[in-house]
Amino acid sequence: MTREGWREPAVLRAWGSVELWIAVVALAVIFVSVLWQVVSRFVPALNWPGVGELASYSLIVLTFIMVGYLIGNNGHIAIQIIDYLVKGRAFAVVKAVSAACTAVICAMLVWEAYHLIVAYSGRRTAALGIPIGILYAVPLIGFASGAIRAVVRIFAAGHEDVPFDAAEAR
Amino acid sequence: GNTPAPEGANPTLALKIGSSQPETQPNFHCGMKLLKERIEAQAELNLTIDMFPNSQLGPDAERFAGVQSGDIDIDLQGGSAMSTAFPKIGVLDAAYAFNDIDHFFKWVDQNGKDFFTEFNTATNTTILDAWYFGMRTFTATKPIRKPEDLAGLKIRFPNTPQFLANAEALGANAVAIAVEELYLALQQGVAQGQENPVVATHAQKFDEILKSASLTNHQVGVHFVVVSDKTLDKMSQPQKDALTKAVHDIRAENRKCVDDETEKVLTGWRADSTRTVVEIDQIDRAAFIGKAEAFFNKHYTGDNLKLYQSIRASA
Amino acid sequence: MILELWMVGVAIAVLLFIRVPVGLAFIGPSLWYALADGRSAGFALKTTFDGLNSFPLLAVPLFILVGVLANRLGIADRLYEFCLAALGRLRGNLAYVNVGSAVGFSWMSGSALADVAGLGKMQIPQMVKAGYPHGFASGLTAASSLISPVMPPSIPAVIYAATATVSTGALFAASVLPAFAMAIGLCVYIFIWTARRPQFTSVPFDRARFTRASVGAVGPLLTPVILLGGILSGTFTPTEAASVAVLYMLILGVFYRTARLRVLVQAARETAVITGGIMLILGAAALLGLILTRAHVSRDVAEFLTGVSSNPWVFMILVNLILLVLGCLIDATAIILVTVPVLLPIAIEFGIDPIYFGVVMIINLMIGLLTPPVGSVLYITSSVTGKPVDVIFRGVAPFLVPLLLVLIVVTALPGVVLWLPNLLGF
Ligand code: NA
Ligand code: NA
Repeated sequence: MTREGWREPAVLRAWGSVELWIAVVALAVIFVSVLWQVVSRFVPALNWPGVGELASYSLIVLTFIMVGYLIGNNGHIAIQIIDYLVKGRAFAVVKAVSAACTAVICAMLVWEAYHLIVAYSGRRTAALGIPIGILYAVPLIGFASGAIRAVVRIFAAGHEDVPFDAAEAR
Repeated sequence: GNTPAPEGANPTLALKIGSSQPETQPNFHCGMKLLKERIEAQAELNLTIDMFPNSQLGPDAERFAGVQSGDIDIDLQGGSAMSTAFPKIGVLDAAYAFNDIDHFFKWVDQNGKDFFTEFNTATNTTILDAWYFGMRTFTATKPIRKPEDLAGLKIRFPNTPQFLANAEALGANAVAIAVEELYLALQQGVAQGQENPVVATHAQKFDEILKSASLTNHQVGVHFVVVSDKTLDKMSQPQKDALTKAVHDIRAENRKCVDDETEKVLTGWRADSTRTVVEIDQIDRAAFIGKAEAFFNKHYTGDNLKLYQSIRASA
Repeated sequence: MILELWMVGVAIAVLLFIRVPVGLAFIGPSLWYALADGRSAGFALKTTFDGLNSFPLLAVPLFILVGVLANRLGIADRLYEFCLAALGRLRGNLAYVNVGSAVGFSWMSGSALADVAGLGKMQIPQMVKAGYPHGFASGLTAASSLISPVMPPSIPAVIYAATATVSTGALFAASVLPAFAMAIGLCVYIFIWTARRPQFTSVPFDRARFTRASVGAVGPLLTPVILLGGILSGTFTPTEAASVAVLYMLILGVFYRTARLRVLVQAARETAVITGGIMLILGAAALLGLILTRAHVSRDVAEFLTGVSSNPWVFMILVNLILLVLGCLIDATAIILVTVPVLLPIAIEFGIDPIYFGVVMIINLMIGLLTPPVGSVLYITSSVTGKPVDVIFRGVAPFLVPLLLVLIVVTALPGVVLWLPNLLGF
């Protein structure tokens, strides 16, 4: 089934599929870790204090790595009142302003992520000993990707979007 | 801005103080509330204290990060949440490292200065003093008198490296359960016991389910009163002195509150025929301490081992 | 900083209005406020990040995955066939089947979206073919999908329990009767509606078909037994139950030979994008919540509301009205996260049980999923059926009557809500 409307440039679509794969792996880790915690209570040999941390950080990775993908594919939860109030050229202007605001917010978060990476360099997580700087690199990547895609969207504001369908996410 | 205060002037500051403890607990009403009253009574200091009990500012580890960044001015923290920033402080939480709270305060008064200076260098936060929180003990479905009694019981320990090492040192089967799900997990039998000070166990209603309390007193629970250096930089010397003195003065009063509250809960438990209270002298302490020492002497290395051994030597 | 706080509120409203993603619309002004208030660089992101670091929230992606798998592995189809075989002899049978399969599916799905997307795609065309008006078919499907997020497992319940620090298990138990009440409310409406329309006939009961369908649905129908049984027997906690439910769906899929790798990967992709959207809002709301806490806004709102009236019923009516209005305008998850820390302490002060309060709040906000301008179920029904949103809403509107009546009944009867959790000893 092909849908009409604007799509992201090919480079961003390729990067989007990488982001989605990272999220899929994180989801699998969450499932296995939480299940592991259940099983390890009955099989003490499998007891490993890292599972809780692994699951929680995987959820964080999933969340932040999807930020850019969802901006690029019009998939974030947003309030679409204005779609019914404003039509045509005015609506394109609204979309451009909206994308610009999104880009600015993402850029500010990239700046914050950078500060956190610097501030927490050398610190590690309690159970697994993962460098915390690596964890803050995920939101840095996610929001940088989001900022780039939002900037692209400013220029594509005049085109109609493909409606987002989670079931067909690629 | 972090511009130092001019000589002799007390800048007007509103200090935010956080804690995990709810308003019903001694460390709130005999701790941070007393601090607020006494500091604000000295009007010339120009200090107000804005209280956030009950983890309103987030869980322990996240609040400590807030103290480091200067987003929280003062906080009450156990050792384990601060050990990711300064691993050595975890050693103070080792099972049976200290015999009792007297031993702990004696050690703090003799060795605290160097230790806290080292802590300050590593974390950019300053420990003003420690307030007592209670001795950690087991509450479970069965009495625990000696290490062997722990076999076959799944006991919930907080999921941090030092607490899990304590479980191993005592011979307990630790199970990981998030604190949010602990009450239900105990009720449904996912775990058969947990360890906490008596007052905290009662406050979180775990004693509704677990009818055997064993006063193993295996770990001294304290809350360090820790201040952000970013906050101290903004304060005048008289303000810093007054704050330090107030925190230090509260230590003894707070301890009496915790002891009274512990005794009150224990009296209730002892009077209840459905409960067992295994008293301190009914516990095979020598067996527990011997087991824990043998474990930690192997478990720790380097500076941590030296610290652990010096604490044990001062017992 | 009071003026700045009002500016944050206005900025968020403006950003939401021009369709900036909800999560980012919360974060942007909050980040600016935090810096203006002297917070460290990184405060906003760190608070958002920490807001996601919570064990109970792991149930969110896992319960979404359960619903997606139930759709993709043919498990939902089996429930539908079972309901069709069982309820065929009733007049207006397809309408009852719609509600019945929603109830069956609700034990596997924690959100309304999976329900409309999966069952709706199949049921609306079949009802239209059987002569039901399009508005009735899509309205009923949208309305019955609300049973999923109320019946356990429920994603709003997981989020409420984590925010209010109450037992997820108790909230699950308390939601069972209200979820059935919603189903009964819809059935009563169907009964009245078909009574005046003799053209809807029934088909005779077919024993062979019923037996076949029952055998085929044994696995799916055991899901609640495994979920609640496992929690009540102490085998796993409510969060862990989510992973067991995923495992159970996978086992059923292997057994039914529908669990092919390609299908599983696409299910994981779908779950990942849905989760990403919800979780960003969760983290953002944690940031906004901390800013409001530090400024003692909750305390001030509490003082205002307790000043209005000292009667708990007046308070509950007020809460219901506020939530119904908010539910029309804002995403349900965001409302739970932002309002619970403010409203729950007041409710507790009034002697209102936090579990009962959660059930009322969830039913109320789920009704908001059906109302414009912000009603995600409405939009999904529209995209599934290819009809415009305003046409769908005209079909949905009559069903708001039975649902609002259920909300009133549930609000008025806290004892009934708390009966099951008390019975189970929560
Ligand atoms: Na459900
Ligand atoms: Na709505």
